Amino acid sequence: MDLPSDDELLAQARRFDLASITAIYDRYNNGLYYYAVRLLGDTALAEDCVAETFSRLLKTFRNGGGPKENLKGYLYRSVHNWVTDHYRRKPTLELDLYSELPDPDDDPCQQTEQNITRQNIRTALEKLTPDQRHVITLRFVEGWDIAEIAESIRKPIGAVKSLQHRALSSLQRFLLEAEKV
Amino acid sequence: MDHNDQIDPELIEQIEQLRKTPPRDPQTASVQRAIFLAEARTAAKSVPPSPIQRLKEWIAANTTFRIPEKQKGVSMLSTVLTLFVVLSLAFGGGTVAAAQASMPDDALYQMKVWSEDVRISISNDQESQLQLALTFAARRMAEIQTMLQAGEIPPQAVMARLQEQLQQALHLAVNMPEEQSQAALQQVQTQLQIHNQTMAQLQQTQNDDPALLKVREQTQAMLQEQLQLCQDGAEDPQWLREQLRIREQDQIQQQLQDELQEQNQNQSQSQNGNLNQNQNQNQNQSGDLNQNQNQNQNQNQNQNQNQNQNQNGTPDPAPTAAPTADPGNGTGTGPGDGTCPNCPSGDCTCDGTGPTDSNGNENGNGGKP
Repeated sequence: MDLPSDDELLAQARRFDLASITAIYDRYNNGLYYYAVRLLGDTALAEDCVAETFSRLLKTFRNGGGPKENLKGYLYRSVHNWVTDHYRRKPTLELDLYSELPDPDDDPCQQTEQNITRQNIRTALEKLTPDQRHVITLRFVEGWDIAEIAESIRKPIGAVKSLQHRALSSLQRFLLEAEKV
Repeated sequence: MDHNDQIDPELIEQIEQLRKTPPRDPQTASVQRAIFLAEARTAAKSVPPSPIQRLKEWIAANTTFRIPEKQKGVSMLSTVLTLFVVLSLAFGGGTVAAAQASMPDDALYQMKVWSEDVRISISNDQESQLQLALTFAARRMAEIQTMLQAGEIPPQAVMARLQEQLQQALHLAVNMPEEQSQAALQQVQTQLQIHNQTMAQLQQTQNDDPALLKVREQTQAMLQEQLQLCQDGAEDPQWLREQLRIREQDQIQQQLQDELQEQNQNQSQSQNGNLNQNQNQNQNQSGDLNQNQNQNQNQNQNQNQNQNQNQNGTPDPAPTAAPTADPGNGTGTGPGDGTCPNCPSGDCTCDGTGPTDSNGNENGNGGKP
C-alpha cells in the first residue's frame, strides 16, 4: 500500500488526527534529529531541539495554524531556527572532542582530527547569516537539491544559488582565518 | 552565471564531514516518542471539531496566559467570565470587593480566586500579567502564613495555586523581550527570597504539631526550588524555558498516568465483583466443581496481570516501540544501525539517516552538486 503523502498527512494532522500526527513524527523525527546533531554537535541538545520542534508543531495545529504545504521544509526550518537561536544565546560552542566518537575501533588520533575539523566547520557555519547557513547545511550536509531548498526557504532558485555562492566564499574565508589562528 | 563552476571540492569535502554522526540512542528516541504521543493525545482531547470554534479559542489563548494546570480551564474562560459578570451583577461589585479579604475557608474565597483569574485574563501585556501574578502569589503566601500562625493547615489547593502562580510569573518573566527579561527575573527572585525568608522566620517562631511543620517544610522546599530555578534561569533563560516546558510535559504525563491508573482500578474492581460472584456460585453449585475452580484460577491470573501492569505504571497500553525500519520513517533504516542502502560498498560514512527525499527515503548521492 502506498504511504500517504506529506500533504495528505498534513491535511489530516491539521484536523488533529492522531494517526497522521504520529505518522509525521515517525517519518521525520530521526532525520531532524541527525540534522540537529550535525549542526549542534551535541546529542542531548539535538533531542531537546527535536522535542521542542514537534511540541511547537502540535501547539500550532492546536491553535488552528501550521503549514499547509511543504511540511518537510517547515520542519527543517523550525530546527534550523532553534539552532540559530541557540547560536545567538551561546555564541561560542564548547569543543567536546569525545561527544562524537562514532566507533571505538577507529584510530583515536584520526577521530580527534575529524572532530576538530567538524567543530571548525560548525564554528564557521555559525558566522554565516541564517539563510546562508540553512542553504549550505541543506545542500551539502542533508543533500537536498537547489529546487527543494528554494521551495523550503521560499526564494527563487537563482537567489538560492547566489546565497550558496556567497556562503561558500565566506566559509572558505572563515576557515582560512581559523587555520591562521 | 553557474555558481557550481566555482565550488571548491575540498571545501565541500570538509562540509560533508558533518554527515558522520553517532547513532541515536534507541531508548531515548523511544522515550521522546512516547512523550510526544502523550502530548498529542492530551492536546487532541481538547481540540474542538469546528474551525471557527478553534479560531475563537486561538484568540482567547493568545490573549491570556496558559500554564499546564490551567489548560483545561482555557476552554472554560468564557464560562468563568460569564459567571463573574453574572455574579457581579447579581450581588453587586461590593461582593467582589468583599471577597478580596476572604480566607481559603470562607465562602467568598472562590469569588476571590475567580476575580484573580479574570484580572490576569483580561490583562493584555506581559508586564501587567507578571505584576498581577506576583501580587496574587504574595496573597497566597499571606493566606498560608496567616493560617499557619493560627494553627490551621492550609488547603492543598492553596499551596498548589501558590506554586502555579510563581511558575506563571517565571514563565512570563523568561518569555519577555531580552532587555526586560533580566529585570523581571530579578523581581521574581527578590519576591521569592522575601517569601522564603518569611517562611523561615515562621519556622523559628513556631514549634508545634508535626502536621503544621510538614506544611511549612513543604512550602519552603517549593519556594527554594522556584528560587533555584529563577537564579539558574537568569544565567541561562533558554534552560529555564526548557525546564518549564519539561515540567509541563511531566504534568501532562502525570495526568495521563493518573487517568490510566483510575481506569485500571475501575476494571480491577469490576473484575473483583465478577470473581466474588463466581465464588458464590461455586459454593452453591454441586456439579462440575473442578471446572469452576479452573475458571477462578484463570481470573486470578488475569487479575494479577492487571495488578502487575498497574504497578509498572506503563503510561500507554500499546507499548511505544522505537521507530522501526519503516521506509517512511525518514531514515531508510532503523535508528543507529549505521547501514546505508545506497552505499553497497559498505565504506560509506553516512549513518543511514542522512539525505532523504520528500518521502523520507534516503538519497544516496549525498546531494553533491
